[in-house]
Amino acid sequence: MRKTMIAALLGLTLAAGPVDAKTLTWASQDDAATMDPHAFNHGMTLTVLQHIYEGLVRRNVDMKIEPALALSWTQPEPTVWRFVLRPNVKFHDGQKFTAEDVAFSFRRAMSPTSDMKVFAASITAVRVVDPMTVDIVTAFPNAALIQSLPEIRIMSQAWSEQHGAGLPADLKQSKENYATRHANGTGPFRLKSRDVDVKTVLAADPAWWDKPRHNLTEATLVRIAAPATRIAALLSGEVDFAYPVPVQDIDRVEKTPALKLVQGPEIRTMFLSMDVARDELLYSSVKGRNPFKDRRVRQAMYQAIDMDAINARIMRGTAVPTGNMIAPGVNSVDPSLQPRAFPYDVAAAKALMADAGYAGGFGVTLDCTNDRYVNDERVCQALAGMLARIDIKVTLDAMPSSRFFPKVGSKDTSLNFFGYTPVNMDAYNTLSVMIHSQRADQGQWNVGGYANAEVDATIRSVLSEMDPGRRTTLVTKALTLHRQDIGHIPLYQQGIVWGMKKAVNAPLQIDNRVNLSFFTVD
Amino acid sequence: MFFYLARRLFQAVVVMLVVSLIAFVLFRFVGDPVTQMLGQDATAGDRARVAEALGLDQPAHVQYLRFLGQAAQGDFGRSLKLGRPVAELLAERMPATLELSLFAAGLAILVGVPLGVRTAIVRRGVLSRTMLTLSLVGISLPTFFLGVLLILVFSVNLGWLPSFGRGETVALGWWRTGFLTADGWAHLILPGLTLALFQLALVLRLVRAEMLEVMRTDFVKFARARGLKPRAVYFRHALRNALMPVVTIIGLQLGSIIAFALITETVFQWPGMGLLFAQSVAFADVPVMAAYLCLIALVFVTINLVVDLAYLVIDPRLRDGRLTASAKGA
Repeated sequence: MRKTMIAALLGLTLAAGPVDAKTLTWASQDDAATMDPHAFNHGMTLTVLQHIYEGLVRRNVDMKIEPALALSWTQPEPTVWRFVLRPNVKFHDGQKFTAEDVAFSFRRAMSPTSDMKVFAASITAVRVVDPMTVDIVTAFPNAALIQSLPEIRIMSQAWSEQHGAGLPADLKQSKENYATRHANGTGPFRLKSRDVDVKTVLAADPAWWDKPRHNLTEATLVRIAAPATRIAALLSGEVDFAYPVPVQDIDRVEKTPALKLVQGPEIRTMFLSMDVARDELLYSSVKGRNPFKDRRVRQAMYQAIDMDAINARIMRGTAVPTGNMIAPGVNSVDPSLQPRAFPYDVAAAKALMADAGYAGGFGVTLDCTNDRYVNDERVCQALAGMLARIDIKVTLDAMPSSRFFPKVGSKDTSLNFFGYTPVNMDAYNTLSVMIHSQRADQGQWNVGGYANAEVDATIRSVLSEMDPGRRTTLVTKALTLHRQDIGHIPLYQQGIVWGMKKAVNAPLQIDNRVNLSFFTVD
Repeated sequence: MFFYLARRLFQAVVVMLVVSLIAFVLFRFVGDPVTQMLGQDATAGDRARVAEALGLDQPAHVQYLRFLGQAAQGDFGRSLKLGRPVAELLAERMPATLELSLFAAGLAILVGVPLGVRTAIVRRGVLSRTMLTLSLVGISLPTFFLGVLLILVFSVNLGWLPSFGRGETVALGWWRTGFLTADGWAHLILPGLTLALFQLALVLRLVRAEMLEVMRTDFVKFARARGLKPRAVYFRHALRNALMPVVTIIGLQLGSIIAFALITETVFQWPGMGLLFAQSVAFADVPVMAAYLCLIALVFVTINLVVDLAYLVIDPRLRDGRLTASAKGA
């Protein structure tokens, strides 16, 4: 009798398994659109895929680059990077990882139907040197190459070709691409099951090459798009982790004893973008001139905006007001640029408006999304109210992002509220896309037409400056010139709010991508 | 009779064409899918390539004709976001929507009819008055609000029922059902109730009104005079006669239950066709939106056609061609 009891007790402890083995259910407002790592440059898709597929390098918990599928790298020539690959790594289907897989995956990521080409833009060739060594050749010395490599994920050549998924899905093909719902990577988790938009189960891979930091055996992602339902599922304990938590629900989650919040600034910077190029604004009461061309008007707008009030009343303190176009934490950014360039001062703003000859103000239309950023429409309403105090009568045009981006992207705008995250966590990306004057491959979203030849020259020199210290100095120079010009009006870094059970430990990721590799459950 | 049938079919086809045209025109204002499909840093060349692949560079009427031609063959293209054939996506989601709608319709009838009878018979009772007031609430309460309210009470505060999703399902061939598991039923209750409440209130009030009407007629008085038991009078004689218009209305309402499941599905993250549609709108996933709208139109048109044919069976005058369709009343 006693023996059986002891056996039963032992059985219980054994059944509890490895002491730390845990499962986690996490709810998100979106689901990955595809399991193909090269098909769609989309936040939630990349969030899920980073668990299954790995790049040559990866980001650690502080967003710093560290080796992953590459053990080490050197730069034998300014345009050649040589990577020594990690030995004894296997794909989830058991095949060995080799240099051929790397070359294949880069070719795939650079193919016309890939949506990840932007990360490989400077690469001209990937050469297999030997089974465990590859060379990446760039068109010019690219200081930010390594920053882009976490996003170029490595697939198995044999697996992809065997299933006819040698290239990302072509829109013209009528059949589904095999890689859309199947996955075979080298990452810490394997895809156990996938029910699109409903439930995606990731199982920790016991054969993973690295020692996991997490203590999960299985994680289930459920999509709950409606914010109220997502928070209800968290409050009722049906899910262990939910994000994003809407600003209006912060108090409720905080007051629930079983739950906690993790919050902080995201690297996404929100700002106002003005048309500073046209001779007459498209949407304004002023005819024959463009008030935004006058720096005094731009400074007046800057000084009329009380960012602290917006943060306190609309964002409940989750945002971080900023005077910088690129968030600290992004590669090569000097955090000392964070304070506002000009203080909030309505009297000074009015004086500037009078100086510029607009004492009576003017009317202008503000384009704004209503489904893209945290409380976007309410922030725009507040901005309109603040600008009204210096007699700029703002007509608010709030629209869904599926209309906003085509409209603003085609420069059909005079004033818009915009947010940007440097995709590869490197300052050059924002400088090139938002601040450089519009050229063939630069200034894609510099829709206001800001142009300063010295800024452009500085940005171009950032591109190939390999020395980190000198590179930061150049970035600071470009940002400072742009700041003095008031090329845009920076407002704030959007806040990230994650809600979870007390037992879940999740370090905040400033790119707002949940990475289960850093999670532990008590 | 042949002409009657042919005319109804012709009308159905015209309705479908008009719906597809309206859907097609509307979607041009939803937004540009190309921007949604590519990352923010995509080049102009990439945008042009995608627009060309989608045929968006062609004139609107060419796009519409191509859309019609393919739709007629059941090919609605591939979802821009999910990269899978739209017909396959809709087929996958249809069981969830139909099971939810069926449950809601069943609930509305099984609860609504008896309550309607009861409130008609005992007109001044406390229960009747309460029911009538509640039914007013049921008719006027917005669905999403009711859904959130039920979630707060039964999931968050009481912790009795799950707040989202469909729970465990069992695959019967391609049909995945939640009817065969306890978990599936638990997940069905709140969204089913949310979707049913409006219909329930409608059925209750309709049955009550019809019952009151019928009870005033002579044959009910005669039945009573014959000394029949009240039970027999109410259910065998009065209710049977009162039910005719109720059945018609419920049939027609079935279409709107399926269509309005959209809101309930959104609130409860119920993985049906309505949720798929709602999420496609945000992405400007035009092929999914177009197919869904056409499908819903088809459901309505089919139900109407069936109702028309039912009249044909019921009313012999239509069969002889003595009356035109417009004279059928209703």
